[in-house]
Amino acid sequence: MPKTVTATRQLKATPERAFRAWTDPADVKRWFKPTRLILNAQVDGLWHSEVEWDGKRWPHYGRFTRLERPRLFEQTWMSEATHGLESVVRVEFEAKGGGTEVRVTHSGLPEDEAENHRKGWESILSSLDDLR
Amino acid sequence: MASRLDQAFAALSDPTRRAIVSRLARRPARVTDVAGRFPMSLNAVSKHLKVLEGAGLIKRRRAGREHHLELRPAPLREIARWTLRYERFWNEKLDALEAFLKEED
Repeated sequence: MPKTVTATRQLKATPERAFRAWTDPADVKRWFKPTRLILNAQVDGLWHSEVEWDGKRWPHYGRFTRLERPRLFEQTWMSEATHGLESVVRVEFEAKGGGTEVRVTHSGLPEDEAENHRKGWESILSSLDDLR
Repeated sequence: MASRLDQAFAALSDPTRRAIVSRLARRPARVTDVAGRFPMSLNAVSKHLKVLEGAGLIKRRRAGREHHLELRPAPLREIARWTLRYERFWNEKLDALEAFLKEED
């Protein structure tokens, strides 16, 4: 079963501004901090970014599939961590509390070789809550 | 050679060993207290404890004649980190985005 991760954050900016921070290459370079970036933010536009993360170089490739400024965009996302499969990253922007709530939904991630151990993590991760 | 992550996953692939870890996640305990919770011989429980010790998941301390067990969270954190890699990635990136937009504010 592919899995999904989500992350949300409240931003001090309008949805329009937050949307631009994700889709204008000059902006993306300033916060996403890719070591290499090619970004063509239009439907069927391709993108490539390389990030240094977790002590490792991660090249990513994908294609924009939806752009509905300033509400959401969606792109395919391939990297070593997706084992070459097309995962999907959807980013949504919602005006909230005088700013914007941004929500990232990353779906279609492979379960990886640890599928066998999945049942193990569930009980472990729940007991881990105390430790973190 | 099996990595620590491999060893931790292997050790936790058994329900009795997961139950022991869950028990010790709440607080350290004596070997006899842990063993008393499972319908198996002390010897069988000891074998499970050895596997958990070998994986670095628990540590045994001697206090006089009693053996105390405590959880070593490092391999569990490593599992959590590995499992939630993209969750962590996106949260770090959103922290950076938040800081970037705040600077402009």
